Amino acid sequence: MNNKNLKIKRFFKKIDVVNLFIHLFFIVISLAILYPFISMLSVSLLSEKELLQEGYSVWPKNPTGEAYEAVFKNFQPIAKALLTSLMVCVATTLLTVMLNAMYAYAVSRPTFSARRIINFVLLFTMFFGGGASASYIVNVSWLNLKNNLLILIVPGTMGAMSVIIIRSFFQGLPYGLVESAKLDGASEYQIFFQIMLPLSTPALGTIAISAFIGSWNSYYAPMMYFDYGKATTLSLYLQRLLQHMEQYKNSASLTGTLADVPSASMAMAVACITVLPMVLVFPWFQKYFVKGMAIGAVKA
Amino acid sequence: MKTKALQKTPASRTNGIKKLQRKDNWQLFSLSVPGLIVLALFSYLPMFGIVLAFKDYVAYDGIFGSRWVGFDNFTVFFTGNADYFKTLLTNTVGLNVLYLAVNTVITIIMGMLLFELKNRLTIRVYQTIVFLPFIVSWVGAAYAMKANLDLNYGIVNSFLKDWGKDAISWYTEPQHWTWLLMICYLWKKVGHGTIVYYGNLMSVDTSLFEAARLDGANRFQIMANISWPHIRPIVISFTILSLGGVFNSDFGMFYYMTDFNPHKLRSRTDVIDTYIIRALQTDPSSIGASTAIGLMQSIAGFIVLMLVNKIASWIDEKGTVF
Repeated sequence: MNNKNLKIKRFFKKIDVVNLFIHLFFIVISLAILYPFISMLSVSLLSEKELLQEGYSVWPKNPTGEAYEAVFKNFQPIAKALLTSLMVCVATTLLTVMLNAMYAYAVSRPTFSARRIINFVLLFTMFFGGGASASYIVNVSWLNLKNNLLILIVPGTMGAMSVIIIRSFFQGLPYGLVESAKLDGASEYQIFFQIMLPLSTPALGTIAISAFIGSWNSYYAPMMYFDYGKATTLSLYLQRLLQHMEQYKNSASLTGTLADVPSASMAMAVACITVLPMVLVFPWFQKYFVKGMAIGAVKA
Repeated sequence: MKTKALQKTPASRTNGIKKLQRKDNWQLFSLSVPGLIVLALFSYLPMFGIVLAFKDYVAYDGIFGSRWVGFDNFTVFFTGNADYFKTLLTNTVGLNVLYLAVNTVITIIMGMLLFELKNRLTIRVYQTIVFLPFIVSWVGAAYAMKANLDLNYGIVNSFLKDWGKDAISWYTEPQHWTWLLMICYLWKKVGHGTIVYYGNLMSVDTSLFEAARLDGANRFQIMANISWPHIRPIVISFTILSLGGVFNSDFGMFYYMTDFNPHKLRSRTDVIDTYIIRALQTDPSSIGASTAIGLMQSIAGFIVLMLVNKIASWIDEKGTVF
């Protein structure tokens, strides 16, 4: 009896039940988190007939690329939105990295006499702002940025958190670097552009990735500042499609044909085209992202 | 010539250094100028826009030309619309606190459990999956929501029908949305906290764990006495920062996940942010009022932040933000 108990104990020690349960826990959670992606993808693969007869399902009986075909047939508006989105994203990312890095370098230099006030000017914005309506009116009536792509690019570039992340990276580099360059007669510009920037790619990468993702996903500014018929980003296109999905679906069920009306599965296909590239590319950049978050969390 | 330069008086030499320093200062300042301009235009200029809270804004007259009305914008909203104000406030603060509390507990548990695992590959896979929603916008997520909750075609409703139950009209019945939005919130945010806490646990000195194990401590004792105390300060400072935003909601979630916050759902899903933005979009005459609410929102948030920070300093010195 005792012997048997011991055997069981040893067996369980080998496979470690607790670990097994933890794995089970994470597998369940992972599935739950992936489920929305899966359901989107499956609906986009539904055929129009199956959709109208049986509704959406997670497991399409005859998955087809019909919806994607239809999307690519009428690709021009989406291609235009995609191009605008890419342009805005790249511009935002470059500007964010440059502005924040320059600011961070100035703030990181202990010899800079205006350092404290420049730092305060930035940190203050973390705790106090004008609010959504004041910003909106100022941007529209004073800065005249309605329907202007600049409103999607410039406003979000300066961030206290990004400056803090880059600054702490600069401060972590050996100080001798700056000092010896100074002794050799380098100007602050040279030190920044030729020494600090090339050395800080990990920190800059973190900022760049979050800026790119933020810009790609941004829904608020496009929604507020762009009228119908003006430039559209992919995210804005997606919002409007969602808004009109109800109508599309109704007209599709009324006429029973696809015609040139975007159907629900087409809308899902567009959503997948927007969301999935990020999801597929992200794991390769995750390392940078996590690092930045860890610094941010500690410094906050 | 050269020797003469070396024989300069000390005073003029310090002058030279000062000159150099001034040049450095100018260069450093010029590096910060582009950032300062952006901050001035998009962070500080809107602060002047706050005067709108005390004005009756008419687009034609502009911000300065509009009529001063004192505190009318505040009193009209709080007294004229007291019931709705109460709904907004309970929704905003109540949902925020509820979601924050649940999220904190779950992320702590997940971070600590993830730390228990040893296999690097599986850890990476879990991390990646848990973090994925963080990079998906609410607009994209809204499509998934719609695929599931649609009245006639939705996946959930067809399941309900298969089990012989009635379909639920999700987008018109407000009572479901407290927990539906909680699922959305957790789906999006759980990964962030988990990874931060896990990363923080990675920095614990491993000899502590070994020593505890040698002394015969079991897993749960180690978790409770080493892991938890280690992440406690960061949990507290995270909570403080989040509580500072207790009057601000994630606009995207409340707007897109509810299918543009329709009228029927608002008793449970309308929060201050959606209210302000709806006012901006649909009713230009209420801009004064919405600025006033926005101002109250920031001030209240700031006060809460300070208060919570003070309370946290009594609990744990290390957890405070300031």
